[in-house]
Amino acid sequence: MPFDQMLFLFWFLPLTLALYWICPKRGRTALLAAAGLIYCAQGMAAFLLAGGVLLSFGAGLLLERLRPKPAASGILLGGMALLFCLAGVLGLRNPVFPLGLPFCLLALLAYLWDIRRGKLRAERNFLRFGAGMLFFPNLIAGPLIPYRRLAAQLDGRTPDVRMFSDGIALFVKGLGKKLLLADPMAQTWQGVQAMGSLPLLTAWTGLLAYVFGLYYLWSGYQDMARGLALMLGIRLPAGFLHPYSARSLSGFVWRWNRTVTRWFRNYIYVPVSRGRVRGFYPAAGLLLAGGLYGAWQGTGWNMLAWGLLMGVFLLGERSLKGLGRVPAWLRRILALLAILFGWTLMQAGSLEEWIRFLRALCGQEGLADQQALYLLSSNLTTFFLCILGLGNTFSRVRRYAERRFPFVYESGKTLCVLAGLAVSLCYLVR
Amino acid sequence: MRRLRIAVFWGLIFLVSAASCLIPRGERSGFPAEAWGTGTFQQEAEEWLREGFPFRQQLAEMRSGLELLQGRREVNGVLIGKSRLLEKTPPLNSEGLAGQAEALNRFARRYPKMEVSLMLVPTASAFYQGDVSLYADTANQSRYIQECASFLHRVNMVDAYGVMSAASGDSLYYRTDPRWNSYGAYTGYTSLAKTLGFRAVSPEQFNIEYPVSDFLGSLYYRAAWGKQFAEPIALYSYAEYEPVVDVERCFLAKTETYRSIFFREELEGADPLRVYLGEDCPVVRIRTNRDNGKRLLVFSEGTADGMMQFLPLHYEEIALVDFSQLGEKRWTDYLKPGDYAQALFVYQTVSFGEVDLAGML
Repeated sequence: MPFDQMLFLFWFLPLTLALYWICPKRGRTALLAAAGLIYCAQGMAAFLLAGGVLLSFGAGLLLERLRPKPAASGILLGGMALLFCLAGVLGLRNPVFPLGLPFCLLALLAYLWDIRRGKLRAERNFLRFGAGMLFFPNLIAGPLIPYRRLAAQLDGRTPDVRMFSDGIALFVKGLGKKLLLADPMAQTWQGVQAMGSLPLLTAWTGLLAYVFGLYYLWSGYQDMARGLALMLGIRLPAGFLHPYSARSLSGFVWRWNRTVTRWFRNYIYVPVSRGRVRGFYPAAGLLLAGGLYGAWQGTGWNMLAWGLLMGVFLLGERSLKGLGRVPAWLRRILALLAILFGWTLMQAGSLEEWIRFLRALCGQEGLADQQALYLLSSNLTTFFLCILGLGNTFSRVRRYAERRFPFVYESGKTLCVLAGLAVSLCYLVR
Repeated sequence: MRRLRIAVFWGLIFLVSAASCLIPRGERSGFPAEAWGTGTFQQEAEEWLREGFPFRQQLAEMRSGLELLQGRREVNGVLIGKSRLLEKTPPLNSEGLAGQAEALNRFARRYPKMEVSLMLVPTASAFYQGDVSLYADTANQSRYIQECASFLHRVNMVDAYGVMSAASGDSLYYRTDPRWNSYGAYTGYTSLAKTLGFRAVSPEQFNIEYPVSDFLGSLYYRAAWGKQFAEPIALYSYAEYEPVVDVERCFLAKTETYRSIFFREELEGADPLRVYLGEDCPVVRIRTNRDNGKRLLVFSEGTADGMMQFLPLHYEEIALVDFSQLGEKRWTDYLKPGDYAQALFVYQTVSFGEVDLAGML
């Protein structure tokens, strides 16, 4: 039940929020757990997901007891990790795929890992654990939040007016990003994919559409998730911090879906790179983290290759000492080219397709045709809006206005929210 | 301000939720709760909600208007032109073309006494793509038809593309529907004359009536745009006499007989273009008062329906077969191949590749 569906927006959301407020504070945690279960799974999938959460709850308690025995706790943690990977692969092949499984698995693994490391005490309250692991706002596309931070915010928090209205604004902003920018861009990209020949202009238009579509899809979903969580009185961290305005590749990686990047950094890269051989282990850690990140994103070979490629690029950026002397604008262009090169790999269905697309980007299939001009002119305004949203100009203007003209800012924000909601409604009924 | 924002948001989602439960649906009556757990629940529930969404058409029109404002010329796969809506032609699959042509060749070999012809009707974008600024149809329909003709051995290819191209100064297709209009069907009919061996009757010899003045076709509903392109539906009837004696519609379990090819009650229905021969059915037999012993067998997915305003003038009987409606039965369960001296396959270029000719024939 994605957030941009009517079933969610007009049935699930009002019902859940209304029950959440009516419900006494003690029952809210149970309500959130039930809502999460209904939200992400249907029929048998719900039982499977509930079973997975129950198993992890038990494993957490057992891990805490086994902590003094590193071998035993290590075997248990490894077994659970293997089980989760298997569940992930099987889940992807299931027609009734429990939504949010990839994020849920990361959260569960982090929880168990933290218990083993002694950074977290195992949760004793199963309902709170269920509500935390199946917290519906961040199940589909994140942002990930460490369990201890989420658990501290559960237990019947009531949002105040400010939180709730900010939640609405953030949700509508995300909805707008998804419906007004990501969806048209995805449509354009699909159109380019269906074309027989790809002149340079068409290929670059397609790549830009893919890049924008991907960014606004993820960041839109995460904005909606953060907005929904605020409506329930819970703060989630921001996942995207204007990644395309980063000056380097590592800056980009750190700003792109940063809660997930942080997960792979904390649970894969850091433990591996602590090995004894300096240089080797950090490099291996980077490649492993990159590869696993890619594999986590999807089952195709291209996802794994994309993750490894990003790891290689990051290694290159670190090891090139002279890069610091390169002008900032050139470094930014180089980083952008590396990122775009990575995206071309992510979109490819096969090796031949990837090579063909790269050739098209270099103009091997001609420079432009009438279809390319049509495509570009049809998307010019959307491209412009997408580019405008990439930087932090809006945030600066917003902060300035909020500080200097609070009433005008609030009025303008309310108008924007209402207009955004109205326009999104037009796109919802398509 | 914050309270206002909350009030409006809540008011809107609660009002819409309540309204979507109360608004009566067309074909769907109840919420598809039975689909829970099947994997199709979300899609069905979404469709159910969308169908009952208050002010749905107006909101969809607003969306299309916004997209056009953004400079887009395409909504939901429909191209918005200056004077018409066009369906975007999908890439034509040339790979299966040899197989389709071979199925026709085999059919012609199996019935050597039957004269077999194929007519591939291009889509509107072949002639009117200039209506959409800068748009160039990537599907080369003329080449597709020529390629198909090169695979045919015992089958005549009707040059509908050439004749229609010459007449494309006039409107041959509805401006809000992918199907050809009556004049387009007439042009198609004239392109058949040489191949099927009759002399086409000139358009002046027909009375033209316009029972609907503001027809909006399926492209309008898909794009939610183009009210300004509403146009009349023209029905042609031969001025001197009415050639059709009866129209027999053969379904799986029953047969219905009518007096005319025009099913006027359909003009009030969801698809007014069903006025030609009514709703889809496996086999339609048109008997005429022409006593010349000529019988024509037509295989089509509906494209040929409009030509039935003209073809009965030259045949004693015409049988139309729609493979998509046959179900488990075969066309020979309804008709005797030996009764027909001519067979004509009429398909749009985009749908020709999708028909399982080898299996159906």
